[in-house]
Amino acid sequence: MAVLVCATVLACSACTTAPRTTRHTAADLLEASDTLRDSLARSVWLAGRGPSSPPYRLGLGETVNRSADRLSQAARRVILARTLLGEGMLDLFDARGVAVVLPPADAQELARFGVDEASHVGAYERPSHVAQATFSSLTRVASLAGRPADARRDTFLVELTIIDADSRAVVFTDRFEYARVAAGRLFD
Amino acid sequence: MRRCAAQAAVVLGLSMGLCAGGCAGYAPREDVLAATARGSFGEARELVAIDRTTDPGARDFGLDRLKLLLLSLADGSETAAATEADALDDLLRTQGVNRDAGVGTVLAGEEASRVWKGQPYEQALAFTTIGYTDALRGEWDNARAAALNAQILVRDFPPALKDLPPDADPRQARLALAAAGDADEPDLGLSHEETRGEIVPALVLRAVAADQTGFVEERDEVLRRIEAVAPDQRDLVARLHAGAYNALLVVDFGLVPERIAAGPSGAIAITRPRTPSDTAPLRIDFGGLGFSVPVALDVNELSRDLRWNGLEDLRRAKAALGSTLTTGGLIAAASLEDDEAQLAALAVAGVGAILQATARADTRHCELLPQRTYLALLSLPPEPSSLRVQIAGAPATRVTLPMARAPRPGEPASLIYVRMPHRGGPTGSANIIYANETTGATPGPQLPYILGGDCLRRPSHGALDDYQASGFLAGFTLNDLRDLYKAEDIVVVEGPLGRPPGRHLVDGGRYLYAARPGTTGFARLYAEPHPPYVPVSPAVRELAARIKEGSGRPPSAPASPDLAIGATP
Repeated sequence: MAVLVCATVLACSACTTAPRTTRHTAADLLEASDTLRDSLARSVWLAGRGPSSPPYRLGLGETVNRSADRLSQAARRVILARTLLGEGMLDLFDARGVAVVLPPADAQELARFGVDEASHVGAYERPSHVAQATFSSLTRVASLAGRPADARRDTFLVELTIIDADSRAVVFTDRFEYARVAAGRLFD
Repeated sequence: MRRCAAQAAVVLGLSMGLCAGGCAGYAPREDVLAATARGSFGEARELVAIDRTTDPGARDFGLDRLKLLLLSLADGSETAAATEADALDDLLRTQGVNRDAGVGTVLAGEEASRVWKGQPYEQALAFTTIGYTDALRGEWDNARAAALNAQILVRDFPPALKDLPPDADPRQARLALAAAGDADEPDLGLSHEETRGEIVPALVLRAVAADQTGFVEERDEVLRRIEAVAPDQRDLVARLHAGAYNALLVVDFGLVPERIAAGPSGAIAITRPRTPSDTAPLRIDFGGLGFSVPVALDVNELSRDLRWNGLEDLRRAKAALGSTLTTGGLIAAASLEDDEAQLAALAVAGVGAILQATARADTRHCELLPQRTYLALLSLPPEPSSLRVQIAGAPATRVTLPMARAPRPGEPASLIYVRMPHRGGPTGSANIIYANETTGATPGPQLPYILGGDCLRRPSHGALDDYQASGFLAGFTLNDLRDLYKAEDIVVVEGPLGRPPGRHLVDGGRYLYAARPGTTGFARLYAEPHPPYVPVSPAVRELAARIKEGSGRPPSAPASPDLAIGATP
């Protein structure tokens, strides 16, 4: 009897806690941002540089959503900016002879969305390098034969790329992958 | 005995109450339908907003969001449309919303217990409409995501495509199923079943979005799908393939079929067209060119192909059982002589009545979705010209969008969304009559509409400069100008509001917002004459009167202290 009760309780708790959507969450995007920032900080692109290296000016470029999840332009820009500006990155960039440059209007808007570091970047000049972010996903839907689909899995990929603005050569790229799984009939 | 009588009375009373409630069903508001039919989208939105739900867990939350989205999009109210689109997308992307509604559905009926997500065809159209909203804002990548979700939903239904990835080529899918012994016709052609229920506008939106975001392979794959399911769209496919376009034109017309309860106890949901289907093409004229395009989607047909009747068996069983219990109970009550037995029989009849009442099908539907959609890819010229669309043989459906033009270099293709009014006369004109944020000042003196002028721009330094250059409002500051609108209790919509904006000033409402170009709302607001504004505040009334009289004084000079704009309550 006790086993039956426990099984019922577990089944019920599983029912109530199973995710019901595969949409991005803020936590997903922040984790992607943190991971890619760490990767950039340890990158070969920055490793060989010092304060006396030829100066780089790093600007924010395009953010493209290639996923099956709508993602606002503002959210994408914030994630890209946070990756480049958060957690001591400005100090690291200073030490490596890299200046993040933003048009004043962009800096103000990012500060409005909580990226306070955006207001500390220097005067805007044409970037020598541009950072871009791409959000992609692969969607899979599953069902029992003859029944409406009741499970969906979206595997997301957030990719950070830095290119040389003149040569268009990719100088840094890394990606962060995560999956979201949801249960329950898609249409209901 | 007395206790039994009381119990029987309770059961009968409850059953009667449930019958009354359950039999009422969903009734779309006639005033909303009428306003939508004549193109007064702001008025319709205001009416829907009166009793809209704001609780995301409420049963009609999605239904209200979709209605407000459709009306805001038609009205060119971009910010309101985007807000509704986000909320609706959240709901549609949530799976198993009604997973726990089983007991409630049995006890209280579907309509009283289930959260509305809509029939599959309604959801697919909702995703497509969300995509239009994104594309209208130039966010083609988000439009692609929305269109993709429409397709994922649709492909959940054709049985031949079950268990296969959403992007699988249907021909390959069919072959795979044939190889697995699940299909008995291993031909490479699409079956009737596979071609029905496809949302052509979602496919086209996805193809254009893929093209705009550089997904060439995906674009070509979707184009192949369009060729297969909608051969009459071959011109559009060729144009998209060649990249010979800079705008996607979407024209929606009519209203979706109504969903009504039929059969015993209303247990069967059927649809009945509101706007009859026909194959009349859409005539498009702009820049000296004229051509016609066929109907891309007939929702009357789609609503029959892409629906879910999974609960119908339960409803029919409840109706049959209820009918048996009611009839049996009443016969028994009439034939039995023992009082207590009679009351027990009446109680059984009451339970039967409850079952019948709660067997009724859920007839909620989004009555504002269109009956049909036309699609075209246009190459608009760089110089502004008017774009005219009309269903062949129906002059009253004509909509003229002024100042249609190619996007500026470097900008993505634009989306033009026309919701045709289906009652009343032609909409819009080739000429901009009222100054607005998109086309700027009109020829001649500039003066706010609320003061008798033709300017519908929101208060800004630029607008004020124009008024003053025209000889009006000398000495006014921007705050003084804003105070004029405050005095009139007019809400100037600059960003998202807590609630959707209601009617625009020119429609007799209290809202001043900028309509998005390339929408019916833009044509209605700025390219049609409107009655003069009637001020309600003494300050604005007297200022407008002085301007009209041309009293010789500078219009801004207060005649008396109470006319000092800015000090006016």
